[in-house]
Amino acid sequence: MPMSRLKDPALLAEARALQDDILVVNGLDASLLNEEVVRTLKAGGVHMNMSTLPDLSLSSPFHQFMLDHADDLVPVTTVAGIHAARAAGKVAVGYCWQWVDVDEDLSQLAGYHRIGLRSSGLVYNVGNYIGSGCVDPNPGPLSHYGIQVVEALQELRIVVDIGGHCSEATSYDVLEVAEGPVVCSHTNPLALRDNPRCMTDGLMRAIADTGGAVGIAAFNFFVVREGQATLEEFLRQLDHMIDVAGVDHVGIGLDQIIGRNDRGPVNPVTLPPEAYPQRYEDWIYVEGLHDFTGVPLITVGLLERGYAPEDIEKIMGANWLRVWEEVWGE
Amino acid sequence: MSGRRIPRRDFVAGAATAPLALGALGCAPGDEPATGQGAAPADPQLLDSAVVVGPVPLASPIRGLQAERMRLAAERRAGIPARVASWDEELAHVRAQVRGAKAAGVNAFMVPLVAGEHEPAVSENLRRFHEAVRALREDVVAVFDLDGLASAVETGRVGLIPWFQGAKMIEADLALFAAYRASGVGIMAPTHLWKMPYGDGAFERSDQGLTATGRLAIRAMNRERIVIDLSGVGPRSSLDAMAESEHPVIFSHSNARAVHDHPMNLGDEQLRACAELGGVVGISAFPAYLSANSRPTLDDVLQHLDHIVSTAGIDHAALGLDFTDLPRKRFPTDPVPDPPYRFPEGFSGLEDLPRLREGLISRGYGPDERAQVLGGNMVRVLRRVWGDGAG
Repeated sequence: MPMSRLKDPALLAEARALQDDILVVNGLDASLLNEEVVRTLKAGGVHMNMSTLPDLSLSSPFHQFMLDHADDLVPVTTVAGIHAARAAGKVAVGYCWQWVDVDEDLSQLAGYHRIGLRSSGLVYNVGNYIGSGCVDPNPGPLSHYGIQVVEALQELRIVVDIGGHCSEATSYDVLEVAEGPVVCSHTNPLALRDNPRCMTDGLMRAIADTGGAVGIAAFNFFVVREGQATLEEFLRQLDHMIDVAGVDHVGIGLDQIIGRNDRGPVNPVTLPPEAYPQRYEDWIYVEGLHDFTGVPLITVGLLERGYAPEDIEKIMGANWLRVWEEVWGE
Repeated sequence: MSGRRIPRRDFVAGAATAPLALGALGCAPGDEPATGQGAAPADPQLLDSAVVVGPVPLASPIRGLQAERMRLAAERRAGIPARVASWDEELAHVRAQVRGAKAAGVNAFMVPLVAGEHEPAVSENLRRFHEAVRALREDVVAVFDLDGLASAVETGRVGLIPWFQGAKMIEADLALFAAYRASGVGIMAPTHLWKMPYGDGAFERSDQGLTATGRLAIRAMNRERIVIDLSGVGPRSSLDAMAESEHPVIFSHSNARAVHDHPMNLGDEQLRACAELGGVVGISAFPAYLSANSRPTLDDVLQHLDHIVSTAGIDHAALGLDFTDLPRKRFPTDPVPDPPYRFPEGFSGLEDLPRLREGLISRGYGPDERAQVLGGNMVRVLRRVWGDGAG
């Protein structure tokens, strides 16, 4: 459908009204925290953002940022906390990692859990101490230490997120080692876009079989090879993921880098050209989804495609909440 | 039967600290440099007959915080109470060790300073090493280059060659190789026994070869003239590294799989690839790598040597020795026992080197061949990678 139709004010109003009735959750954000993130989360009607905060140390600037924005943001570690934040008219923020960075000292994880870490990836694109990444030439399983990492995360009830950055071999190994739901917070279907960061239908099904969920990313080049990806192309990927994994196992994990795309060249080893444009300036997103103001466009698209409101509720947030509640407890 | 001859002692990591007085640091006026730097260019003949072996950990905390931490944890499990030793006591142990080595004819040996540590522990280990070298300068010389090695040989002191096992302190920040090279580290193993961002270790569940980062790391080590040590690297990762490296590499302490099929040991393909690059394989006396018998013998050591000589050639055999009392087992499935280790009887420390010499003679190795195995081959690699003489 043309973008103009999706921008129809009446449809957008309907979508916003629906979003006000449900809980809208972004399963993974890579923006860190900044003013633009806060502004567009509110404008886009997002109630909960799972924020990648690589630095959760005591001296991390994110702690002060959360204090400075206490009127708008609430750090959450439980699903009850997410509901409470919404009731208070604030945006809930969860803390996650995209790889476990504890210098092979898993005793640190308990401390990070206390600080608020509730979800973590394992490997970021290239092999590390834990396992192999999605761009490694010869991907393999988890390492001995990697198995301990998965076990330690589960012991602390931190969500295990294969992220889309792990290799397929490591991802399947994680499913083998882990008990209960595993997620992939942000990926896209390999069946529709041949990019090393995209995921096979089989792996999406396997994640669904754990009771987990798979989030769809809005990164332009995981949707199309070149040019601007349209919302229609994005929604077609979302349809495919729902077909494959089931409507109970798909969410959004938009993976934007709001306010951070002015950083020049990327590291070509961890972000190789076969998967990523080589300058951050060229990292674009699906039309309308460069920040959270476009989230209602996804809701409009789902309405337009005939999804029932209860299915839209699941896709736009309830699936994440179900998985998190099961893993986090309470 | 006696175990290791290096005296055992107890040490709590971080407790023994070098005194910081300037005199103790060896900064008094008129001190000769303990590093051997600035010595005259090395006499090639002199070094060809040098005895250069290792790795063998120093009998002291300067062998590394992580190693001490692992040892303490193992001793705690075994119910052995920890005791704090003073810095002077620690130095006395090292002095006894190097004097024993010197009496056995050792000119220099590789010293593990890092086994899996990150900063700031790495700098702390380097600090301890450099301070100990100063304090023991009548007995030891730190060897960063060929001049240092020549200085050790000429002055009759024992050269200590700093060695890092695993480049964890560098990871993707490859420019750091230059910084550690400048701190005196001339030999590094890119990965330890387990999976790292560069590739897989020999004890891992899989062996997937080098990663893209790993290939860049090998090139960076070539560029910085750091000797690449592939002992403990998985077979495929080590073959990838040899394909990538322009310089000879070493396997500092590995044996032959044909003699004893152990993950740490080398298949014939690895042995030949190492020879093709002009590198060396240093035989290990570590019991688990020698034989399936619980108490291997010196004969087992020589059998590995014979195989390496017949497969890779006499130019590529060296002595790793690997006399250690430090724990190696990290994961329950690791194919190594807990200490104390049962080294071959009469062959458990550097002071036992004469026994090996006798063994070489009895197996028919001639004088030139013995000199090659005892150090000549290793010196050839150091010279090729580090460069000859000053600069």
